[in-house]
Amino acid sequence: MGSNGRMYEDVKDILRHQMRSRRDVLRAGLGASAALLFGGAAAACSSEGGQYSSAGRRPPEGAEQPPRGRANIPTPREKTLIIGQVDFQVFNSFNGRIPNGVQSGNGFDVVCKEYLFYLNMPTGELIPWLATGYEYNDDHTTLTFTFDPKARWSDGEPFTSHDFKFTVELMRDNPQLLGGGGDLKDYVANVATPDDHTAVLELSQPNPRMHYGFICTIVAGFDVLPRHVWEGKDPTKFKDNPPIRTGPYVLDRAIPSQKMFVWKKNPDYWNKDKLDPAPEFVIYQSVAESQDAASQAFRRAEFDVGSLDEEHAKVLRAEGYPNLVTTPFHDPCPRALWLNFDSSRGIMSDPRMHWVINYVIDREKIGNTVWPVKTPPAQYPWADYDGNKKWEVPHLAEKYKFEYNPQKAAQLLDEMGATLGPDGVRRWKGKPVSVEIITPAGVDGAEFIIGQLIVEELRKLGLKGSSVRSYSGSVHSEKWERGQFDISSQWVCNVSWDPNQLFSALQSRWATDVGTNAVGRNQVRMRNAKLDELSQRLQTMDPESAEARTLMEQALEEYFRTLPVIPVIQTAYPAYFNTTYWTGWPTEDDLYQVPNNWWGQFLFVIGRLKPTGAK
Amino acid sequence: MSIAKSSALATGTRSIRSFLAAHPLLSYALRRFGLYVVELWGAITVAFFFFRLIPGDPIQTFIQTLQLNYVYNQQASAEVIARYREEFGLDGNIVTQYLHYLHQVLIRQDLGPSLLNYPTPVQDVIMRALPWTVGLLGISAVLAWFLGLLAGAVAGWRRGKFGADLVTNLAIALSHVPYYFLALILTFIFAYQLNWLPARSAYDARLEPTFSLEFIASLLRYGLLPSLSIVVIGVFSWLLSTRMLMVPVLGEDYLVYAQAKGLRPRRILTRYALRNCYLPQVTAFGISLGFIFNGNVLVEQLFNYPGLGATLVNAINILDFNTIMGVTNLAIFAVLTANLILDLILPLLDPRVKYWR
Repeated sequence: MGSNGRMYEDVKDILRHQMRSRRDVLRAGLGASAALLFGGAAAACSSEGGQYSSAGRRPPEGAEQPPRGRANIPTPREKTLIIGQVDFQVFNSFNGRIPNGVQSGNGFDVVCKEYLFYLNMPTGELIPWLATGYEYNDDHTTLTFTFDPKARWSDGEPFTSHDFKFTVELMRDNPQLLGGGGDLKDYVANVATPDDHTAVLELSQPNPRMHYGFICTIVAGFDVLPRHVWEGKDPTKFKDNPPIRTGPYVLDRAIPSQKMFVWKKNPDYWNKDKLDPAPEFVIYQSVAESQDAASQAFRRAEFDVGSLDEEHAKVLRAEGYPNLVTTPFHDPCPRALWLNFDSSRGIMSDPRMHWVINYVIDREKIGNTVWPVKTPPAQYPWADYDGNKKWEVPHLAEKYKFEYNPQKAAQLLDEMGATLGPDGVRRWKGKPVSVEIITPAGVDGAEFIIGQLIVEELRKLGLKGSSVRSYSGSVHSEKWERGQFDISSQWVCNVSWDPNQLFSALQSRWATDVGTNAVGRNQVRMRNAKLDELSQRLQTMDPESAEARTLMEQALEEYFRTLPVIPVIQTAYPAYFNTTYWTGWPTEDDLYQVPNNWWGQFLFVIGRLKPTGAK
Repeated sequence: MSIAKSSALATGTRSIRSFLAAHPLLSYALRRFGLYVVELWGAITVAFFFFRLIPGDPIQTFIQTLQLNYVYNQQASAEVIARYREEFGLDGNIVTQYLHYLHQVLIRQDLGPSLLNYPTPVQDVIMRALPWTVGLLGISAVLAWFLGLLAGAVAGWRRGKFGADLVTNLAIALSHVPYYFLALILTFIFAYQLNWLPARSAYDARLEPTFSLEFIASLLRYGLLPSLSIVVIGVFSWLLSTRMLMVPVLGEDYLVYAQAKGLRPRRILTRYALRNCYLPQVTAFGISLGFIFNGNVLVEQLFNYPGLGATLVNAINILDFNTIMGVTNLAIFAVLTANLILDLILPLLDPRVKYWR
């Protein structure tokens, strides 16, 4: 793309770049519920060990189809794709720059908006869309985008570089907007528009990765706004309703009382040559919160996508329901435990105690039975993408082997002086030892159950008073930021660029006293001079240089020695599709695009669908 | 103050007192209304401080949720958090926040912006869901109360008879079954097995909400299952309590006297027995009205019904204090107002009731 004409990107580089500021998702207290919110939910492998037994299987010719229900929609069923989603609340606003100014998961990001580029994560292909390319100058101080001259807004106005310039400047100059400030503020000195189809970002300092922010990578990307609609509006109040964008669908209506968004095909869509989806209508509708009811709706083909969790998907598979396709997809954040280092937490401040915890984690059991999908164990604090393999150090992994070994845990406790009394209780410095695990997941969430399993093991070792507590999002968030926990069972999202992202977030300078808000960094209150020094040196280096590799290895060893965060398992979320009305879904064997119905890339899935002819 | 003015004031006070003494019902109504205002203020104040005790910062939590869902891909700037903390009245200490809230509600007559649907005002968010909640839960509650009252009266009146005992025992068994459980069973049978009734939504999506017969029929059809689950359980509950009130009345002398006068049993039941035992039920019904405004969350969620319950749950999930307080205030207002009205009209319903001397 651009100067070198390459069409494929390193998925992981872009992913890591876009993820680099998301490390604080860990603080968010809505873990399990967030997964559930977006229909992905925890979910999915059969008892045969992760094989989706009925995935994509079509019934034999002439076989009786399961009974179908009447979907309660205002459009012809055979022309409509129906996607089950979260409980919608926002129907009159499409301004994503203010809190809840747009309903997440309503299809806006998918079928109405389009992006400059899409990254097909499964294949690594970069798909130029509104833009035809990008190019840096030699010293990476300018970034030039060229736009497709055919591109038009849904109201017929041409999409131009002036729209791009307007949006970049709006976001750069308004840090109070969601997505405002950030890289645009830090790097973009000026936006030049030499013609209607070219925009040049003049950067205040070299940045060879600036273009990553303009690619739809996870969920969405840079949303270019129509200047003729937004100009002169107060971006903190404007509702942008109905939304004008360039996508192949426009808003037909939002029906609050039906909790439904109806998108209809734009007959004048500018890019029909490349994408002409078969469904005339796409409906995003809230599904019943009761999974029993929701799965019945799926079984009766009242939804084509979503409206199912793995528990009910298993039932459908067991019954031989022929129209279910289950497509697995990995999340970037492994499940993990964060362990407090603050001296006020007693024995937890000793790194050996972190290894005690590590030795009582039965990752095989958790991966096979706790997480609904059979999920591999995690050894490193990052997702097991191929692109991350370069950060792995096998000899360190062997030296600091993650194994389930309660005997070693007991030995370590003895070494630390936490000895077992005649009453079966371990005491340290004269006091009974116990550990409190907190989690933002509900009591039926995997993170809670992981905590329960660890507590059971600890109790067996004599830490009788150990407990696990589920706290709702904001309460967990408060405790997490203020360091009021021994262990937090959640996930690790820190390593999106290179491992030093994690190490630098754990620098002593970010460690505040317990009770003081950590504001997004070092919530475990780690104070480690060696890791500080290594991470500070690494910050100024190309992480892949030879010098950095050596330092990275030393830092990783220090990480393994102290274990501020213990990765437990990888995270897999499946997507569910119904083939009664539409076929052509991505499958485990043919994962041609991201299968998540709320991600921008799902537009290309919709573009591949074919009607079955069912009425 | 001059003697003349002082004298005029004293005269005025005396005349008001004498006026109120001559109109005891008005005097009572004024005192009762004063109490109502104090109760309203007290309940809203308690609710405010109660909800603000929930730890956590809604704005920071909201930003983290967006990050978690990858909707928002960078650290929230201090400007974002500061701006919305101020917008939602979250800056300053809790007393400042309380005064800000009172000013917002009483002076500006505004419940504030909702975080759930920013910047839509909370009153608009509530009003979008309220008609559905009142329509479904309100009608169901009235229906359940009315039918339960009648059935309870008959069950008490005909105690010892097979039918009455059967219904009573059935009510004992079923009155504490959760609405939600019955709703699941009804849905499974009538929606998924028999295919007679729709399982979700409030009306046929092909229709535009109008006052047409077709739309009203659709509303009734779609509302039948959720309503039935509430009415059935509610009827059993009211039946038992009414019967409990009815049975002691049946031994009273005035009923024997009415029978001796040769009045028909139906007249004795409705005019003598029921009239003497339904007042506590009227009061209880007034109190139960508050629950309507909180919505029946589980039933709404099962049927994907667009009511206040789901709004409240979503607001609690993201600590949208303005919306939480808005819905809570509505419930407080409904309960207190219903009780005020009942207190005022009770003397009209029962001549024995007299609040004034």
